[in-house]
Amino acid sequence: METKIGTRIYQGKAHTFGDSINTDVISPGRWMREGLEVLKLHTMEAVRKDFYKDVAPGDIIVAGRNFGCGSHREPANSIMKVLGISAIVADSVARLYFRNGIAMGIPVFSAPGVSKIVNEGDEVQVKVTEEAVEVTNITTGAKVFGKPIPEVMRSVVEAGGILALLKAEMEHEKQTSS
Amino acid sequence: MGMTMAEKILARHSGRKVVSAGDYVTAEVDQVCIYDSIVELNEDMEHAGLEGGLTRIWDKDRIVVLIDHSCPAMDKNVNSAIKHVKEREIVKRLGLPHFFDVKAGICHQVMLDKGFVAPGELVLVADSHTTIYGGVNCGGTGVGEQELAWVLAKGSLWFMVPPAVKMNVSGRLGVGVMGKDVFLKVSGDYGVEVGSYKSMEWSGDAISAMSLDGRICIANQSVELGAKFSLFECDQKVLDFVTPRARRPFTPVAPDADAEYESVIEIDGGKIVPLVAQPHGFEVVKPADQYENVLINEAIVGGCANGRLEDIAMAAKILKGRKVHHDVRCIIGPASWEIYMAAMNAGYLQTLIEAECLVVHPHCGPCTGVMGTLAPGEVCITSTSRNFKGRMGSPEAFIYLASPATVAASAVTGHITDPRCFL
Repeated sequence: METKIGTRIYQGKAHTFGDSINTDVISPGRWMREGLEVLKLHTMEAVRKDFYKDVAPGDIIVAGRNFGCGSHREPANSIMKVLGISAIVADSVARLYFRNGIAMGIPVFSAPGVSKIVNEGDEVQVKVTEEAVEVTNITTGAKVFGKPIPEVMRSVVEAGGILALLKAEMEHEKQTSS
Repeated sequence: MGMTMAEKILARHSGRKVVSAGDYVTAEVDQVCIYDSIVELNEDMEHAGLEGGLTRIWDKDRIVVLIDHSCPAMDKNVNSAIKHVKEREIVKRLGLPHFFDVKAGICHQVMLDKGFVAPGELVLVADSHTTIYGGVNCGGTGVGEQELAWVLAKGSLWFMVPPAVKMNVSGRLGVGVMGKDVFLKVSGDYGVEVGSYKSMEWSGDAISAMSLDGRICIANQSVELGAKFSLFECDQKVLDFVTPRARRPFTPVAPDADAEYESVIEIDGGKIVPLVAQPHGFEVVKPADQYENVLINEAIVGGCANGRLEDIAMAAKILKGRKVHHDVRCIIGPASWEIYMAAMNAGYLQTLIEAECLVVHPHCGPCTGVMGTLAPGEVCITSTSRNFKGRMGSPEAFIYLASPATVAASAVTGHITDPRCFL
């Protein structure tokens, strides 16, 4: 499948978190069954109370290593959209959180060293191209780079998520069979 | 160049003779499983414009659906009860033959007990602990619900062929040292990213001598080390378990002698002692006897990590003729009804109930904060899968992670205790 990913740019104010922010912290189990609007009030509360009050649409989460480790729970990804977070960029991202983010069209990227160049409240730009994930701290001018999104994932990103891609494929099948 | 177990599984399932770490392949899947999140999956598909939600399943014989997380429904606002109704409706609408209602147990143990996984296969579950199937030489890994929707339609999914880490555990584990301690040794010494995006492939004398239950525990917990797969070789112990249960013919995988590993980690199994991970993660691990001043309120043996027969037998052995400390509540949660019955027939449950343990029905609740929740300031020692902040209730509670032996010993004394004094 030949697809090209255009350059995508996310820019916003950074909220910084440490290493191993797990999905129980992002999406506490005891609030998960109450729906996303309730869950939002408790996201990250184990490490930062009332986080939702600090977030403005377009803000970016910058974190340390192993972001999103633990349970596969999708609300830990989807809550980011509800909060208005435009992108997450971490020194490293746990496997399931990364795959879920791509599949759900909620941008999450690895850029080793990013946690060292960004402080709380800095203006951050994440530029995603075919060659790299380029993170610039607009406030200080510092930059780090991450590996590009694997080619096989680009079709998912381009479609806006795996369900959108599935829909397109199923419609295509219907057309070709009729 | 030879292949690792992960490479062989992915080669076989993608119709290739050879694959290497770093390749991307589309692999056919042998079996999938999903629990009540099938309801969200169905709704997400509707929202994405897929008419009728979940309608297409490539092979209905290859999907297991069950209810295990909030089971039976426990929340006061009946969200779970409503979700279970919707789940049953979806199963009925699609005519899915392998549905296990609230009566079966935790998904992974049900999959193992009922022969839905076998050596050499590729199995995906919408749950992180799917690495567990590596304990029976099966390539199991977790996916999200939305990716599973793709798998349900197509029967396949793309994978990066993972680089492998060879985990060689030599020697013999000492008395009172369990599979959980091997996992804790690795997380404490090598960190929680040692297996990130990789296949952890286990070998060595301590692994050969280890029970299947011990290996399954390690495979389960390997996701906490970041692993995509955690694979053990197929030996007689695996065959004795799988052969009478398997629903399909199967072909095990073994690593080639010249397989290429990204790294090799050597561990002396004889030097591992009962270990404890302190709150709120797996990184800070010390011998159990260094935490003896930690008083506990709750002790849990159970979950998909440690709710198997060996785990319950160990708890019974330590608690036989003793009582759970009067300041402690001790929860025992067998992982499935098959295990529950076996523990009952062996007399373990009677022993544990006489010791004043709370033996609960098989479900995910004790691990996920659905029951036995912790108040602010309370301390729990658990052999379930995770000790993350807030996982079992208040984010101001403290969860220590240890083997069933260490948990049972601590339940007796009321503080964290090296189990070897009882064995």
